[in-house]
Amino acid sequence: MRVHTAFEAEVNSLDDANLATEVSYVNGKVFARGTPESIRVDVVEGPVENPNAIYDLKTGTAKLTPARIRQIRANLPAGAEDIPIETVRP
Amino acid sequence: MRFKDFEALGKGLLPYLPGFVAKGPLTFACPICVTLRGLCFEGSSFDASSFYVWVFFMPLCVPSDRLYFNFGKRLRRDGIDGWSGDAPDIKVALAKAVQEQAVPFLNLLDTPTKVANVLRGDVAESPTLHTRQAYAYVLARIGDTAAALEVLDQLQKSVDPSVPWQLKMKERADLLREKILEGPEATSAQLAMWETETIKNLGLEKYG
Repeated sequence: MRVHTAFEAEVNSLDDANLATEVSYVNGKVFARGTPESIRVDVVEGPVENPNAIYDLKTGTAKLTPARIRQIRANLPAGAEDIPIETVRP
Repeated sequence: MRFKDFEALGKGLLPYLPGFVAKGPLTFACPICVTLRGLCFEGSSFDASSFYVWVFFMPLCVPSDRLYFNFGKRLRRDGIDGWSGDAPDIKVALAKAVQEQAVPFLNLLDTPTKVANVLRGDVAESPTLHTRQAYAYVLARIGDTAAALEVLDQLQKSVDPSVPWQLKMKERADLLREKILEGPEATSAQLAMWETETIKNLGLEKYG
């Protein structure tokens, strides 16, 4: 959790209005945290309803698995299913 | 931050949002008519004291069982979308953001025709399926059925029926098309039914 807080601070320090942290999606819709079936991504680049790229924070040896990538893509807005999904490490 | 903390923050913003009420994480225009519009506080998984604030609207005639934020944006402080509940000036900063960012946005949405105008701009800028769907439904809701049929056509051409949620969207668009062709009474009745259903799903019946 501390790593995530530091990561959030780092994203915030970029002062980029084109970035949004912690966004939840289900079937192309943007929902609040904790919505059943939603997937939550760490950083969205571009408009949240039509993103350009996704960044997922991983620590240690954790990896962005193909299953997780499929899960994210399946819930992104139509038209955004093929955008880059990248890992970021602290 | 808990719902009661968000409700307290929302209540503190009511002087800047006349006619709004605060209920849990939601602060919204009351009575609800055609569109739910307002603010929604959202907690963070990164940090227990961090949160986000959405300013958003939802056309209620588009059936939904949950709140969503496709038609909105997060309030930002110095360009950043996350807020810290521990910040000593949190109330003042939020009030400033509401006045500068939320009020101008919400004022564009106080009639169904204005909502349609905003959605027309959204479709031009970012023609997602959900935006097209909302625009078509709101056009039908305000009685511009010729334009609604045109947008429904575009929507139906864009959906991928092999994706379950898009197939559902297409089937509902087919139904709305049928109702429009049947006449204004059938259209209004169908949209009113969906509106009632959405309000009930959101637990906001007493604010209608």
